[in-house]
Amino acid sequence: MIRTKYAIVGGGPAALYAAAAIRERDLAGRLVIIGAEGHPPYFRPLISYYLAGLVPRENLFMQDAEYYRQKKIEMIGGKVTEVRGQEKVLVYQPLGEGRGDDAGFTPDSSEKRTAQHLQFEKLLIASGGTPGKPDLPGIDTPGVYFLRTIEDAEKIAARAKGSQKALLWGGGLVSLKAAYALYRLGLEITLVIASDRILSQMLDRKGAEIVASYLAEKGLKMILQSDLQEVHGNSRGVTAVTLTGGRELKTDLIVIGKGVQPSVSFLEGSGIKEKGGVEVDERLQTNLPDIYAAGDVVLCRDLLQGIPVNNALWPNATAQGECAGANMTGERLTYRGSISMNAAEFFGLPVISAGLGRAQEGAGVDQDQPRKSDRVSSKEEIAPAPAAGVQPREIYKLQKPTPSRREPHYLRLVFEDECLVGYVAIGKNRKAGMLTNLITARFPLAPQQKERLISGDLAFPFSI
Amino acid sequence: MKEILINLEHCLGCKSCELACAVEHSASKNIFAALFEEQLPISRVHVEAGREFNFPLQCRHCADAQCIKACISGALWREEETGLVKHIPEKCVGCWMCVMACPFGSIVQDRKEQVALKCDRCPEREIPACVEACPTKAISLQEVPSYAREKRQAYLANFQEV
Amino acid sequence: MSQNKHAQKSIDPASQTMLARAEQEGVETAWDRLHKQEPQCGFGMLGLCCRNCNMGPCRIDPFGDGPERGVCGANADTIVARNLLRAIAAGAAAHSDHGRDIVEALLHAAEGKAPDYEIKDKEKLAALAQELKVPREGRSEKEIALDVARKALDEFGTSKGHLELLERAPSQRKERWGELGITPRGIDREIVEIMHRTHIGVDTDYVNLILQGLRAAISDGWGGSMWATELSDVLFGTPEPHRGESNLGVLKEDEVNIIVHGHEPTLSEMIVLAAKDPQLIELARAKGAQGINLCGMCCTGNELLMRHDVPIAGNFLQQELAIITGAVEAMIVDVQCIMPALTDVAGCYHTKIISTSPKAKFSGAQHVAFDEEKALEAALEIVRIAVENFTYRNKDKVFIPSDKMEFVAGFSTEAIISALGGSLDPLLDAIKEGNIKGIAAIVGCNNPKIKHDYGHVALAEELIARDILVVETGCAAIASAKAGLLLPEAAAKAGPGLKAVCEALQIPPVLHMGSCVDISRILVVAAAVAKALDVDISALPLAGAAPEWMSEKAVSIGTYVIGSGIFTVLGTVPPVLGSSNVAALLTKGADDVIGATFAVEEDPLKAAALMEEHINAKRSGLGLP
Repeated sequence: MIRTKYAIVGGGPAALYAAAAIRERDLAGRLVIIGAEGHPPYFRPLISYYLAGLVPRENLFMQDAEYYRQKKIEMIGGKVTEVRGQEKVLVYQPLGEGRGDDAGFTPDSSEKRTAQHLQFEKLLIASGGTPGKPDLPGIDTPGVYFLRTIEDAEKIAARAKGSQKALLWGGGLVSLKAAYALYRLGLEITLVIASDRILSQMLDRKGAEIVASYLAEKGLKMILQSDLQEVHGNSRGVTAVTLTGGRELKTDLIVIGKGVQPSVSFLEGSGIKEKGGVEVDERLQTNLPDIYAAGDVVLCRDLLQGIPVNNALWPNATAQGECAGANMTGERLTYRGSISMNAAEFFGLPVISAGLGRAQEGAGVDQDQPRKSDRVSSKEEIAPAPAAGVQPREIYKLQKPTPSRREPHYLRLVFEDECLVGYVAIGKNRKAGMLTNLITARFPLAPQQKERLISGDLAFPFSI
Repeated sequence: MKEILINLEHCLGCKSCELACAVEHSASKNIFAALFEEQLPISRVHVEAGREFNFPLQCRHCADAQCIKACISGALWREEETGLVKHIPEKCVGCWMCVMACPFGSIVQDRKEQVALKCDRCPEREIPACVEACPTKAISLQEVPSYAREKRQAYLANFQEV
Repeated sequence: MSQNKHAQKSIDPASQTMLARAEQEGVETAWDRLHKQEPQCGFGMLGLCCRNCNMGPCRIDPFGDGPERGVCGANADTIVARNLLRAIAAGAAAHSDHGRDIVEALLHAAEGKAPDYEIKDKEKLAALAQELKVPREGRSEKEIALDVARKALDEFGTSKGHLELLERAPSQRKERWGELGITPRGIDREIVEIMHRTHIGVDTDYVNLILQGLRAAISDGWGGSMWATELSDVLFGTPEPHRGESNLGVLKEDEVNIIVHGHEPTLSEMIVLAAKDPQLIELARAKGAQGINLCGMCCTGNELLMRHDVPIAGNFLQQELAIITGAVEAMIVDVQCIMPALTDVAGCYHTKIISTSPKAKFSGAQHVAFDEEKALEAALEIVRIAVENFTYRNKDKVFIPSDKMEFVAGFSTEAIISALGGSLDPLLDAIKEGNIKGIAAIVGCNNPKIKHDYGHVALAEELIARDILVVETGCAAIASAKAGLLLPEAAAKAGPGLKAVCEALQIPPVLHMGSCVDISRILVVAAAVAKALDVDISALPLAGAAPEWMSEKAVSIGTYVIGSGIFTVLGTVPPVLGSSNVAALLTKGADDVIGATFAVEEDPLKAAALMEEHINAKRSGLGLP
């Protein structure tokens, strides 16, 4: 049995940031990371760029071998199958040979492929998420993928070589990033989206329309309010799909982008409380002492909604990892909570959204009233607020007219009284981070400051 | 440690710092030649127009840098020896996570190359170009005692968390 | 080490010595102040700042990230062109106002209101009278002079639509001006029109604007400036070649040193007389001095050395250094290129700065109004002040560098023709045969952005080595004087062809033609050569250069020189690069329009190559070898 002071389950950004935070405070205590992918922590959001050939494989990894050696961080390739919370023991299945040849990663070679036990003093659950796989006839046909891991990207790249058509199932961030990668590889792209708009988890209706028409101009096909019913294939794999409604589409490969759920199945019987995500307190500790959780696996306080949510996003994972790691060494840091936010560039169009940026508008008031400036700004009333927490009350939309061949520019600001609680920014917007900060800080804007914001003047800071 | 400090009362909004910064980050480092470069240089400092004050704003090299934590490609990192937040354009993929995260809005977008740009404190110079260019000494590079540095960081935190 | 540091600032040994002295004494000079200004405003350097109305000031982001238009909507092209025009207007105004003062001096002399002035060059007056169709039969010299002066004065605000002296230009040039609609009218009108057209909401078309700039500049070169030269010659004599001495070493430890600095000869000519006044010389002796040593500086110095045996102490960047010698009793100034810093520097020594023009007063200076009616009286008073100030000279502070250099100056157009034996033919022949490949005019100021005198001297040396005859005016000529290039012996540095010509004619390879207004002399020579060959000036193997230019006058000069068809290389970058269109028009497009362009080249050796290339191209255009 391995005995270690610190154990971290999962090999993603939360794990690495936690390890770094531990090492800043405690260089002596043994520190073991057990990763199920057999790679040292890597930049998962880069894999679509890797697929597109825009980023070389070596640039995917967050640190090099020297870093882990210097910081005395041990990495084991293994799949944790069980956590015994009271005993402070976990059980894992080593990945075995043929994996884990990446920098800094030590394959567990001495042991055979039998379950191993590890005794820890402090544990961090940073097991991340698992993409959801819908149950569908033909879903296991070769040529149907997720885009979650390095291996996924490599498999898709291999199949893309002989392919002409790709189908992206889902209209979210991962689907669009995958679409861009495959588009770069020369494939004809079709997105099949169940919702009535793309990026429905990120954008409001208007914003989604702007992005969608921009993407359509680039040659992307988007089929909205439709879903896959069946996947068809032959000996060489996928050939076509049937959509709800019976329409058939030819395709050479499919990427599923139907969301990701926290990886918590191994926690069954551990005594660690989870509700589809690990619940943590403000120090990111679970209900069991000395056991913490961070990253995509946790449910933690949403700064706006005031309830635990799974804001599975890179900046949240790194911040949580850092906080949890520090606390594992005995420090008492609190994690304020997170908000939902994301940024990406879709086919050259920057899109950023944060907080309640996509808050629903009330019925019948979705009308743009042009102002005398070059922008169009309109105020919306909000549909009755859903739950506890922040109540978005006003929405302002600023849109510059888009001359042909120019990129669109759109800014949607959502307020609860004097506080900004969300925004959507499409097109160049250097000041987005300042808006993010206004949201997370719950900054109460003076009336003239708010007026300035609404007029599109994002000068910093508002306190002056 | 030396920090770039701003004296708000002294900024006349002349934007000399912006030009000097752009020129320093051009291939020729000469304002006349820079105009003829294929890729026009981009300033990493911006003069913010306030109601009562103008002031130049560039990366504050935050102790708890949101941009580094948000970076999905490893392009942003902290140089231990100098404490500076550094950016490697070659690693940047232009996802704009840092733009979303920077509370000061001081990450600049190079849309042509699709990379973020930020203040690098002019590694080839002893005195950063914006500091040198400021005709009123509104921008200065000063040795900041650690207690003052902490105070400043605490002040900056006002803008981040209320 | 500190000497080495100063070697970066000036090639002139006297100036290097004095810069070290200034540092020792803690006196600030233009070089120090430049350093404090650096880096200088990029918007200003590119011409992208507009202050023409109070919706602004506005500026255009040259790198395309910020605003592309001012509040009124003016873009970079409009703003750059307007700024350029206003600089031309200021420069043309300075020259032409100087010109008008000279005309008025002649007028007042002819009217008997300025009794101390007399007509020195009667031949030139007669020639001008003929040119202006002033009847001479049975009329007195004063009557003729009165008519000439009145006619000349009318030229500044003429309503007749053209200028008399434009007739000196070859017909091809005049036709081209006519076709472009830029035949200049009176300078007053052209300057007013520039100010009007650059006002908010008037002319926005950069091409149209620049055409007006050309018109105003040509009105300066062929009008205001030319009148200054012509009538200065009439009043004070047309220069003839003679020897003199230059550089700070001309100051004398045991004499009352008086420096006349500025531009207009009306003042300095009287000071020359006053400095010879026996009573004042006696007074100087009584004060313990051996005599009165009058020296010139800048273009006043040039005006004096062209016509008198008055040494020149230095050019523009040496004005402060002269005072730092601690040996200057008075620096008498009138207008243009007088550094406001002078009174500060003088404050560290006993030197009195004496201002004389109602147009130019300097805080900290003593003002003695110079009145043409009592010109000599004022001059005597000024010299007396200087002599009396000798008492206060601190001998411990006196530090005069030993460097001085002989020169030959005084090459007016008439003097050149006379040196050639009465006609331009020997020069034309030398050019045709290729002994002289062409003629280059080096003019302009000093500018601490360029190593002092290096731009001028290196370029002149490089050009003469390439068998190109060099003519010079202004601070450029003073640089060559100090470097020994204005001596016939300097022919040794010339190429074989030019050397032979210089030796045969006993002339230097670099000819000093006068002060900065005297660039009009160069135009007259160019026009005469063009007429002799029946071609436009733009067809001639000529080139101009302003290697160290800094003033708005230089902008006007450069513009009328290319407007007259002469390719011109600038050594410092004019504030126009903020508009690629304006820059392209001035450096390329203008060739089709006006037959000449600007080039910008800081390195004098490369500038020489550009000029030779241009001269060679023009030679082949004329079918010359």
